[in-house]
Amino acid sequence: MIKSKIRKYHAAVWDEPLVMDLSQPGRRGAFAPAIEDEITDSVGDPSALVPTALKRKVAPELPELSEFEVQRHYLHLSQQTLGMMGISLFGTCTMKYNPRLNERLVYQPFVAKMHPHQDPETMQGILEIVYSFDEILRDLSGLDKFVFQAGGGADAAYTMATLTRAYHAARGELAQRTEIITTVQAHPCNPATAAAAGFKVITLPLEKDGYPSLEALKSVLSNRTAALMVNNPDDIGIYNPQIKEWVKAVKEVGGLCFYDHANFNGVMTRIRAADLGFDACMYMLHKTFGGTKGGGGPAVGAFGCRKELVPYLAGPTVEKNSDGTYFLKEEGPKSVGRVREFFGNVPVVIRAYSWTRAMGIDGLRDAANISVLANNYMEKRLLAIKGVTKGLPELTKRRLEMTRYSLGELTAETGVTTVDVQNRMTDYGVDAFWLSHEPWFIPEPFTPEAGELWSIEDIDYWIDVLEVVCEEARKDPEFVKNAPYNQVVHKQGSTNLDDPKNWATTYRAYKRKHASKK
Amino acid sequence: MKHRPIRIGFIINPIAGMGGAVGLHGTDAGIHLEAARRGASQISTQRAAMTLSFLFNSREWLQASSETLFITPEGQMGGDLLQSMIDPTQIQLIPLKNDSTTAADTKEIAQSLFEHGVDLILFAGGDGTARDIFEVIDEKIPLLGIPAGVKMRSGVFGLHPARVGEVLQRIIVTSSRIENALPTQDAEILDLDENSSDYSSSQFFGVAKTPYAPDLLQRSKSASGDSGASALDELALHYAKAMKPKRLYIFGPGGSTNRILKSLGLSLSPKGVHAIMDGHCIGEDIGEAEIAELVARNSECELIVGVIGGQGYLFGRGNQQLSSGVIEAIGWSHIYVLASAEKLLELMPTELHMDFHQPLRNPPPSFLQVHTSSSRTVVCRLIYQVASPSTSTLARN
Repeated sequence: MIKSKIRKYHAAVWDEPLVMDLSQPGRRGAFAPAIEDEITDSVGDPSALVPTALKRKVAPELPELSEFEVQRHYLHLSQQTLGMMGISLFGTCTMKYNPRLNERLVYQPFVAKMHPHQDPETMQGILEIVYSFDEILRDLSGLDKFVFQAGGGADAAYTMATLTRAYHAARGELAQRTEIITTVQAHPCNPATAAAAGFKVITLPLEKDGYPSLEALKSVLSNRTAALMVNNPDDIGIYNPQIKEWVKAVKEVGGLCFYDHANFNGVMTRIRAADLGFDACMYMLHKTFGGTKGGGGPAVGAFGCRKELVPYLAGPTVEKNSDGTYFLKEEGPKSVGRVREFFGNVPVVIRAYSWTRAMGIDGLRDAANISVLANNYMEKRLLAIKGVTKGLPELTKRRLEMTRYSLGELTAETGVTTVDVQNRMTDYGVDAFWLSHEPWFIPEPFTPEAGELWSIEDIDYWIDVLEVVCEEARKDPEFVKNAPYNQVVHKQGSTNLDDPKNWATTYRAYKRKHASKK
Repeated sequence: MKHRPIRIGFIINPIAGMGGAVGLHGTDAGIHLEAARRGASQISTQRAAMTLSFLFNSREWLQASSETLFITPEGQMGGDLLQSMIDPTQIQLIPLKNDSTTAADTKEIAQSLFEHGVDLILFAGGDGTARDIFEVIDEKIPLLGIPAGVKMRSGVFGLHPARVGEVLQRIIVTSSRIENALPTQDAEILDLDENSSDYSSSQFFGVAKTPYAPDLLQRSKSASGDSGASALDELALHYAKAMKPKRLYIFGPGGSTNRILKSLGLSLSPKGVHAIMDGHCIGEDIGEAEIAELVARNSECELIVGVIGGQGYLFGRGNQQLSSGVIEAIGWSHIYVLASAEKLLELMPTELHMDFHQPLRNPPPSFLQVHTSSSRTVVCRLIYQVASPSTSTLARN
């Protein structure tokens, strides 16, 4: 039953040309003043100061516009984005507000103008924040050291895969330990990074409890086992209560255990990776810890491990002297080296530090509770919508902070797919939902996540929009399949978006590939 | 460059699907008379109309209709419906001798469409219709099925008539741009044995071609279209390279195992069991006795089998030559199972079934790893049906 008054919405449509097409020869935003005689007297011709080898032979092709035109152009573009202007229950990403205070902090010159090659003595404050946040994550996980070099969750998983390689190599067992075990519901970055690091990947299937059986795990354990990489809960939202036995079984055959904590939000302060026996874990500072996220970055996958594995960590690491000062320690001989440059995406670490300090331990627990409560509230309303079913409905255990739903029944009845529904929902000013991580074992999936940010009114509104769209699908499937209508860009025909011949990520490529349109 | 129009062969099996609503497991071999007696109505024409109206009302059709020609039999097997929907200049009718709609008629029309050089055969029906057309066409022309039968387990069917319309939209748009043949994927043709009391006895008839549209043809596919087929080709190359001299390799039926044979340069039917040694076929389409004899004579032996889609049969469906005796003689650790990740995901739960005429002497392992590429496996639980099919007792190991 629809609870809210559905608002009229229409996105700004400017049909904005490319900035290059707005260019007029000779137009300028700002004119540099003429060179004063005193300057010429003291340095000569300033343009002669540029070494000949560095001088361009041909001027770069830059757009020529007035300052006002530049402002207007980018304002139009910003109005044409949807991101976080609507309601975004974008599951698996734990959408969180990024407090303006933290944004102001990272814009301060001591962050924005810092260079990682500065003398560490001149960045003690930054190093203190990084070190202190390492300590906070040690408390939350029970592990012994965190590094922030990885530029995202997948990068942190890759850190684990390379660390696994270095660890077994140091023990002379790498030739034998060639297999990494993961589950079909683990985030796809786990099998992907394991494969990228040269391991064979064994995937455990979903079984009747909503996760693979301990028996299936044991059937593949051997002296070839290098590591286990799992999420718990994963996107199905069911916590595997046998996880301690899993970890124990893997360690008995000499494998390492990695806890991908991408789904940490529902269990914050409730469980600690080390208490469950894990050797290493990963947190997403850009999702769970209030850091900025989007467009593939900037992000940080915080990677932590037990002290036995610290020598293998990616470096440099931030360390504390006995006198209370901080220093950067270069990676040692056993280290995996670097998975990325320097010691981390510092602005994201600062946002996460500030957010976590503001929340406090009680705040983190409240947030975890609210995210589980909101998800279960959402579930009750979603399942009342005709055409929506819960992923793996035979599993009666409560889902924690998210789960996958299916629009398969709606599709079978009307031909309208989850992607069509997603497109149409944006016509109401809500952000497109997340479908599902690969692989899709639930037909026509979508994975909403309420987290602790969204109010009950927001959650209700989002569900109302979904219900309206499902009704529309039954009344006029063709209409829904051709959505969106109120968006900046309308439905692209089933043409050729995935054809590399048409991609153009630079103006040069655009001119080359679309010469006929110029 | 001007292309010739894409030629779409179109067949409706007007009696398909009639049995379902009245509780019959299919509408083959005269069952439709019984279905009609029970009050069933023709649904396949309506389902086909859904697909076609989805296509004809699309922008893609406006754009590419002049490049498209339908070839179809006159009357209720296609012509009537198309003539009521589009301009006659876009239809080429095949005259019929009579107005019967039996399996023989379907096959005759399929043959005629082949002779007309169609690029694709679009049909409305069920597994039986797919099988009839496949018997004539094999993998010469891609098949695309509008789900309109009682059972649609073969891989050529779309999820919904409207989604078949979407596949057609893509085809007519891309065919006007691409000079080459349609991109296709393998699809198993499966049908049930109508006379069997065991509803689960799916029979494997072979591997057809179907247009490449993984997101629209089968239920578990993602929009990004992870290409399981190319992973299997990669596996096939690796496997073929790693094959050892003087070792006996027995290949079970199916499209997946056939990829390895193709990598070896061997062109053998995907329906039979073949024995390979040192790159040569030493036993083509062999039966249980021949397999047992070869296995007995060779101490080193490996069995390569695929998984029958839909129900996840490892043994006992379409490969009865691989008997319990043969399996135990080879030994479970020498059995190499391969399947695309997509196919395994369609099995929910991810379990593999076996059904032998003679029971296994020793319990099989509880789990087997199925190879989805040269470096990836999925762990599957083995379900062993101990008793004969009629008693339907399932033992879980």
